[in-house]
Amino acid sequence: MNYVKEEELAFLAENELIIVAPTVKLPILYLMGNNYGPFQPPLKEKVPIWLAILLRNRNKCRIVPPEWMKVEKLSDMLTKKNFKSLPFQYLEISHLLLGCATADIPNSNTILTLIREIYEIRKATFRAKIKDLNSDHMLIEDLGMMEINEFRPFVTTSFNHIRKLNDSYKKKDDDSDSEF
Amino acid sequence: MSTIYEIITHSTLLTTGSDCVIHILKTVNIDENRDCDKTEKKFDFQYHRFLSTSITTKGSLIATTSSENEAIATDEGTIKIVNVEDITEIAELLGHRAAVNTASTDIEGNLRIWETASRTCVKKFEYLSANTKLSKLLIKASSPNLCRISWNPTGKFLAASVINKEILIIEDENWSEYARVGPHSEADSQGYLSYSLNFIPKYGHDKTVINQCSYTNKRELEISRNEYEGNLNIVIGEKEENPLKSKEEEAVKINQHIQFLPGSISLSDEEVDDDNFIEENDCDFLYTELKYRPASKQRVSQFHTIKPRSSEILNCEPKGTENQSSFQPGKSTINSGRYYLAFNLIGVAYSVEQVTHSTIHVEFHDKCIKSFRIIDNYKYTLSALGNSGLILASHSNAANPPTLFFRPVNQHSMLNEWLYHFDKESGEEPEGMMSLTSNVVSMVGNDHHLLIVYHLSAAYQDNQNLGFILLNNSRCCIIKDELPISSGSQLDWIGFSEEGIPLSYDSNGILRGLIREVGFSYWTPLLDTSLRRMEKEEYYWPVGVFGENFMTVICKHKNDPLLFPPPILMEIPILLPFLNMPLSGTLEEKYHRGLLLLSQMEFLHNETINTPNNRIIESTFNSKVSKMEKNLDKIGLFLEMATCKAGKSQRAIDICHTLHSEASIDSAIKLALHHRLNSVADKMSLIKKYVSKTKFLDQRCLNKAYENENKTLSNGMKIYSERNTTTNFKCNNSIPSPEIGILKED
Repeated sequence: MNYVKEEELAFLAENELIIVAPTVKLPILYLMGNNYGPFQPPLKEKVPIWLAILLRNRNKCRIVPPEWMKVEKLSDMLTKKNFKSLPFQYLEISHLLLGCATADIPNSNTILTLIREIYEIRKATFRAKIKDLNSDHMLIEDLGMMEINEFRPFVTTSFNHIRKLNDSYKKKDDDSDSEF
Repeated sequence: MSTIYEIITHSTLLTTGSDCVIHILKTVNIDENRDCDKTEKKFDFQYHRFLSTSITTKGSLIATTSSENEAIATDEGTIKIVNVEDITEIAELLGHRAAVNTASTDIEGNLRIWETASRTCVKKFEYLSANTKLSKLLIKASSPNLCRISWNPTGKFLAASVINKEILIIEDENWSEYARVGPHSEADSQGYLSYSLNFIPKYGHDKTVINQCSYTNKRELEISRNEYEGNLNIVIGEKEENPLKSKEEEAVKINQHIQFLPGSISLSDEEVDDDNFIEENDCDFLYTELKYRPASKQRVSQFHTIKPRSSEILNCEPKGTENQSSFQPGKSTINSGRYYLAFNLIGVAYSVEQVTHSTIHVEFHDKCIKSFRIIDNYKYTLSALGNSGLILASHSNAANPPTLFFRPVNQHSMLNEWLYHFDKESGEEPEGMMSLTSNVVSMVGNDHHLLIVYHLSAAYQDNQNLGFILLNNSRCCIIKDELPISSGSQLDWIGFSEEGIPLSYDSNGILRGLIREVGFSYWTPLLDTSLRRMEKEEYYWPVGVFGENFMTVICKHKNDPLLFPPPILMEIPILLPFLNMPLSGTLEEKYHRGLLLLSQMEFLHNETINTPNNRIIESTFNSKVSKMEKNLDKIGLFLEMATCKAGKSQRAIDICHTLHSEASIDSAIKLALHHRLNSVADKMSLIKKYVSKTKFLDQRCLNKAYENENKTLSNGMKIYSERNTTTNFKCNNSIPSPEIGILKED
């Protein structure tokens, strides 16, 4: 099975853009992928997460938490069980940001607990929907990247087994038909 | 029936007559449901009691401030205070030597003010000659019988008619002169103070009511002239706070009912008609028939507004607006001993009050620059924070003269800290002076300019009448013009954007910028924050403008003290407030805004650049400009697409004029041909020909040449450039076109 490690997923998620408030004046950064800046405090800039973490670790900026990373919104999502506004890589992003910039994000502990709860609820929903698994497809909405990665081995193996079983049933039917 | 001499109203009605009897009438049965005009009230009077006095000649009554006692003047020189309820209670006030005409004035012209509680004379104003230069009260009865005084019912003011046909208003604090009103044309006149001291109508022998507006409060109240037609017309102006805080309508009402009697009510010695009677007309008013019989039934109309005859208007004050007070941009209100002295895009300076002195903390947004503290012994109230340092200023106080203090940002910089006192001992001579028409409202500066806002004239009818002066580094006045702000608003903040555009922000939430062109400048609204705010109760406290963002701090009210530590700035994108535009803006607006800001950037760059040959600055500026031009051309081409599709040929040509590169014009021509607008395409190609001769001398090409000058390539070849003017490129600017050649190195 092709496993993708969680660290690799986090690395992929680091390309996402977030807003950052620089505390130090910097000229334009000419990087391989793209140019970022110039950084003029107190104006905010959009940079990829890896650059934001780099600058934050050197105390050259302050990370502005994204829109969805707020206590009210997350608790609202939990009560209504509506996860459409969560980004695809919410687990990775929250893990990265909360690990690096706890001081910049208000109520970081509450947010961490809320995100864990959301994750548990999504896992429970998945388990409930396993019975819908058939040989063709399985429909689950609003999955995050980490969750897909977690469920992928199980789901793909199950698909393969069900298909084999189905094929063998078909063959058996054909055989029994051909007998007559 | 005897002649009624005087009627006073309070809670009771008192009348005196020639029969030496004073009738006291109480109001009962105020019937409002009668079928009459609602403006009138019908009173039934119950005969309460009467008392007789020894008034042999015309006595008079005065009403005191308390409703219980009425004072009666006698010609024996005493004043009797009678309790209205129990008429047996009489107190006498002694002091006047001569016959008392009114309760407080006598024939000689002395005015006394009595305190009824202790029955003593509080103040006595003696007759003084008219020539005295001291500001003492001048009271003499213009005619002994006719010196009238009148109390304001709140007891705070007293009006008395004075010798030079004026009316003097005396306040009760220390019995000093509060105002003078008049002069009026007739000697024999009397005034009555309205309930609210708002107007003083005067009657004269010519039976006119002379217009008089409030002299003491800035009210707009005009009483039009009564031409003895019987109509009293009152134009009520706007209500304003006055110290007595009474209602306008009530004042008029009260006075109309009793005191606005047409015709003369002078009590003169002249022959009095014996056929005196009290006549009640349809309006149920009582009036006296004395000397003149009114021509027809009189009716006093209430709130009947007509245009007053302008020739008769005296002392009329228009709607008053206060000149706004001076302010320092970036200064906030005090919150428990702390307040911001300066808050802009460079940093913040805030003052913390301590017991004996204050401490000023300065922090910068750019954390590379070290923050510092200053001990403040001079109580600095004004400050400005710039790139080079912080300047603080204090007003003069008991201990110190006005002081200026400068502290550079970096202690190791070339600049030194200095302190300057504005007193005689400082040896500095001023370099110059500039006269302004009125006081300065605010000042702000950046690296290259100084903007001063001042009042062009007094504020009038909600318009602050502001003007501005823009000075440059060499203290030359570049522009001196009016500063337009929204009608009815005040100026809240001025500043410069990061590119150097002067900005103003008014209390209606509109941000304006000064757009300068060669020989011409105008203020244009850049952002209307009320559109964004909608119904919310918010105030956007301005900090500055960077690029196309308006940086503010959101608070509830204008005078809300800002929080500590410095709050997060909110960016509001600039959106020109075009008509009928959705909140997200339109492409046209974006294009127009881009063109405007680009033109300003270029204008200011050309104006402020100190070393034109500094290529690094030039090249960075040019690359920035070319990037902006490319973006603008993209938007312009989108617009071209839309206009060609809609068939608006003239608009398409106009947009083509504003495009910045040949490639864009080519694309525009292609678009026009695609939409089968051949004439438009022809015109566009003409534009391209014309513009290529003048505009498209590619500066970027030139700069690249300068950058590559004397550069050695990796293969040992050297690039040189030679300044050479060619006839092919005729350009408007003086930079000649180079020729680039490559030399092989030996």
